[in-house]
Amino acid sequence: MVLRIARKEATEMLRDGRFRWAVGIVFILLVGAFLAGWKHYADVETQRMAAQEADREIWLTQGEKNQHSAAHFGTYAFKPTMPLTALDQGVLPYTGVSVFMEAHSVKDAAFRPAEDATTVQRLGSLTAASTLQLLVPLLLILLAFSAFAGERDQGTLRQILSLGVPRSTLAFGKALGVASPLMLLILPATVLGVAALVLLAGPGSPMWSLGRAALLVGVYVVYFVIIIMLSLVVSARASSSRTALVALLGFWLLTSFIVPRLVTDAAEAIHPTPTSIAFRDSVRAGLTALPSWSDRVAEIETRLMDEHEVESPEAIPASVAGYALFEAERDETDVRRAHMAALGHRYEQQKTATEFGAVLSPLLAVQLLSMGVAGSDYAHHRHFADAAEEYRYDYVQVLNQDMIDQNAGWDFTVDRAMWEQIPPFDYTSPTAGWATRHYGLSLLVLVFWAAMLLFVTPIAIRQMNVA
Amino acid sequence: MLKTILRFEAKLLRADGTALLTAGVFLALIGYAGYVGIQYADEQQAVLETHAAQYAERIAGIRQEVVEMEAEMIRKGEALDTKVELGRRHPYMVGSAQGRVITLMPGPLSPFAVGQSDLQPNALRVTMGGSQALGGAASLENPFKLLVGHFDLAFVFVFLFPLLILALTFGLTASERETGLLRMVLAQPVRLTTLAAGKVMVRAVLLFACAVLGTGAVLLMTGANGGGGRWLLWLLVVFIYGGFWMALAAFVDSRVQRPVTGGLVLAVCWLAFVVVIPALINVVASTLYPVPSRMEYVTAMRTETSVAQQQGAASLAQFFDDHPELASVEADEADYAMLRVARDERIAEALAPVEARFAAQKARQQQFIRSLGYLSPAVLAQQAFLDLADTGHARYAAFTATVEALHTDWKAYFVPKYFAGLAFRPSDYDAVPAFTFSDFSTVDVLKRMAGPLTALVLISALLGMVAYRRYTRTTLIA
Amino acid sequence: MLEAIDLTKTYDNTVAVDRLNLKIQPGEVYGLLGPNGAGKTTTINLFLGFTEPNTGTAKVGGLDVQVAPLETKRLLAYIPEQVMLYQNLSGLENLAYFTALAGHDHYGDTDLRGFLGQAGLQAEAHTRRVSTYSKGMRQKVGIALALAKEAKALLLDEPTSGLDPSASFEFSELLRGLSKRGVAVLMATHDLFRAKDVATRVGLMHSGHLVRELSGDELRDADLQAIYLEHMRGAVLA
Repeated sequence: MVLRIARKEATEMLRDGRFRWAVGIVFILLVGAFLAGWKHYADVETQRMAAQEADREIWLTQGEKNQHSAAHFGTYAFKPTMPLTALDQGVLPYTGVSVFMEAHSVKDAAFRPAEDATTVQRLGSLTAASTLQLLVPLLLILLAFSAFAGERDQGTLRQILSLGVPRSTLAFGKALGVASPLMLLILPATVLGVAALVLLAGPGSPMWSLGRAALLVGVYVVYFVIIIMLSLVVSARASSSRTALVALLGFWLLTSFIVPRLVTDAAEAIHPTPTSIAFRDSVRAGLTALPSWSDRVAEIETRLMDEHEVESPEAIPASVAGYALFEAERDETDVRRAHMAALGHRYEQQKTATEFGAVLSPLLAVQLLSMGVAGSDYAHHRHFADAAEEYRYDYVQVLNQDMIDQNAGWDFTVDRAMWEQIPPFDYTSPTAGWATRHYGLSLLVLVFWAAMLLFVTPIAIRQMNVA
Repeated sequence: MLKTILRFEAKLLRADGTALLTAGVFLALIGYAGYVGIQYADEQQAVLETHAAQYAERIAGIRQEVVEMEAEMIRKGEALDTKVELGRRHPYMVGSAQGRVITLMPGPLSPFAVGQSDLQPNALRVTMGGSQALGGAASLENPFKLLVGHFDLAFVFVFLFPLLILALTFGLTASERETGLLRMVLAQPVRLTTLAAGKVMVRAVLLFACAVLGTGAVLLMTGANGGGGRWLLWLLVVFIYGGFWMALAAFVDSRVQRPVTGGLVLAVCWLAFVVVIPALINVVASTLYPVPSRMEYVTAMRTETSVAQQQGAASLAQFFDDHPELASVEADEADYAMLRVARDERIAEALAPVEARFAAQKARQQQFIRSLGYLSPAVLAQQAFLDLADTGHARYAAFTATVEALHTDWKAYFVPKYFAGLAFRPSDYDAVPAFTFSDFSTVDVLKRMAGPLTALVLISALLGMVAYRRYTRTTLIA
Repeated sequence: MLEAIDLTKTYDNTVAVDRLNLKIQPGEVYGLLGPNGAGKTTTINLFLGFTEPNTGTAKVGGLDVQVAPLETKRLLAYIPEQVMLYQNLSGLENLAYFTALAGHDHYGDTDLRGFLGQAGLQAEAHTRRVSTYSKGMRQKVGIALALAKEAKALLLDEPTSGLDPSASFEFSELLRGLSKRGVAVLMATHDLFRAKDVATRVGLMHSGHLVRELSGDELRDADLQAIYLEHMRGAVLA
């Protein structure tokens, strides 16, 4: 019975030329966006690997110099992108691509791709994710809004129910009917995407990606189910199919364009981001609280004179510079990291507030989860930046320690052998579990939406007016 | 006749509460967007002013120190115009260590559109080596916020204003046609074209009045410092962009039987013009003309820096070959400042082709979008709004060019001083190259917008004409 | 006042009105009878200029509808089966708008209330929203409009279908009143009883043809139902 109803619904839709056009266009946009995303991903990854390799070469061939000069010469970490970002670019355009890692500096990545892009990007970018987040739900709404209201307008609802079809069966059939043409869209796209991942992404990345891809499919399926159920509820409750359409389009518009902006505004109002000047000043204040360079040197000289039992600083048989640099790096890094962490924490708070806002718009939860799972969110960016910072601190301190060990002064130099002792920067992106845990709240809100609708839909259908 | 229709349609819109609801929603949107924009612009202004003030203070402080040092030297009877070591009195202090901090101050209408101003570095330090971005107002903005976008007036007018128009006009005559009311009306001596024109005009007046009042109030709250002309142009863009959507609504209305169909068609048009086509243009532009990733740029810069550092002496020799007039010192007497100049020049030379490639690709992208933008009125309107708010591409490009020019002047002024190695006297502080950015005037902005706006007017006129012809056909009624 | 000369209208190969010749004098009430699809509504549309004839002319007050669409409409009043009015406005406001459209924007509220009163609409209903009106009340607004614009000809399309008997009777009275003032009335209807009651002349239409006309004594004495059925059956057989 259910299947028969679903088949009738699906047949009706497939016979509708307008529907075929709409599905066709959405499918082309989806595939086109994915291909463009893939090309972009592949280009950027190629460039990144070349750049990372070149930078290693530059590091190794920097010539003979003092360890601390090398620490200022520095080295770059280039942010790797994950294959799934071909689907969802997330905040990648708005986060930097490279971290310059040098002594006394904890930095976020620089060179945000958006700075090099045109103003049109701010009107929105076409990605597979944006197609799935905006256009597919719209398609579902257009398919489902008349499910009950339309039949009621035509008078066929009376007729069907007079035949003794249970309402729940009818509703389930309608839902399946709306979902099955969607499968026409999603299944080939998924197969295509997975095939691309397995065949084209580098070794190791399929293992990394497939679990995440499955999660991504899950998130979108839940979202689509939410939209279908909501459409059925509205269609059952609305006085006419026209009212149902207006209400659902209003919901789509509000949740897609207005609520996200309002929620992010609110999140920022509740947890304000510091201005760059305030941030810089607080870092400076933290650094000023540390002993000054000359005090530090004097303190170390006193300490070393005691230790080595010599009378004058000149007589110290150890690298005062090395010790001073090592300790300064340690203290300064603590201060700078604390501030960076505070800023990261602020973003985290804003993210949590935004997740709460998803109660008003399931799309927000989907957006966050989608980019989180794809690895294009701020958390992944932060993870990379933190890894780069770890690496930076370690290698700078290896160099400072070497100055201590070699009893080096400012004019002491080392060569390639030293540079080779520093391992290349090797970044491992976090696991799918890590990514998901990060968006537990979004997941919860999404499940809340689904549960609420699972609860409301049968009631709405039971109480539906037939005429 | 038209007057009767206008009066009556106004009454109708009032009677079912549509007028009040629309005006209320529209004004609320404008009000909120204005609030967001003003907050943002104020913060931006404050940050930039702080940068400028801190720089002025620092320079004044150094100059004061130099004055005191000179007073001390005079007391000791030392000569002032002598060669100096690196330090407070060396030209390197101002030329490279401090440089000049320049800020791109928000334009008078900047609260209307955040535009790219949350991404473009608008406080820079120009030194001998080039220009570096200082933290701008929005440089710490949460990337997710940047992705979602700002709820500013540009958003309200590009995205939501058309929806308000469509909500008001989607069943212009089709709903009366559907109920049969139109037959009653047209049984009177009145033409359908007059009726449709009257309906459009009332709606246009309602929305436009809200736009004028709302944005006018926002302008007054910003202090309206010289933004009057730009505001009028903003309204012109609103009028033309709104005119397009009204013409489109009339066009669709004249071709459909049922208002629901018309509403759906218009909703699809909105989706296409405002959401899909801009996104498509964007993705096509960045796929056809991909700007190389900055990673490539970084690598090139690193390579050249490394080479230039390792070959410091060679770089200097090369530099003297290129600038024989400066070859007053032997290479082994060159100090740090001179080596830096030579090194920077060498790096700049090596990087020039890479930068040119970037610039060319970006220009191609921009050009592509300028021409493809004609596919979507939303893109044209957005560009016009950003230009009017001085937060778009063109003004920033002009700013960057001026910064480049300052860098050139800066080098021309300081390089001889570095090589002469003479003290940088307090009076020299007044002689350093100044930064003068001749901002876009309202007329400049108008010139930039003229083409796109004319195109939009022509398209709207065409749609309106076709709609007019359809309305004169009687088949619509019977 | 109303005149059709060889009036013909075809829609995609189906003839809606075929060489119709008709002349209705001031004060005459012409009942146009016929089944659905006979061409009655098309005839009215042709007089209103809502559709263009393929050949022939429709004239109102001697003016060709196609040549002078606005002038002829000034002379006409039109009352369809369901008089459609703006739901959110009162009867008075609706009347004010329609009369203003008709070029009579000089009426004050008292004048308009007078017309509504003449048309039989109770004073308390004048300022109520039309959405609360019954079908008969809407029709009265239509009559008031005819009175206010001083129409010389009245086109009625199934005006009494769906009215209860007393409202229907009241409507006939109003028509008689208009006819006495010299208004020419063309009434397309299914209601044989009402046609016989109020019309001075009756035409039977079938498939676009005027197949029979009755007037004066012939009409008074005729068994209209028998004649109607005979013609319709005959037409079916033919």
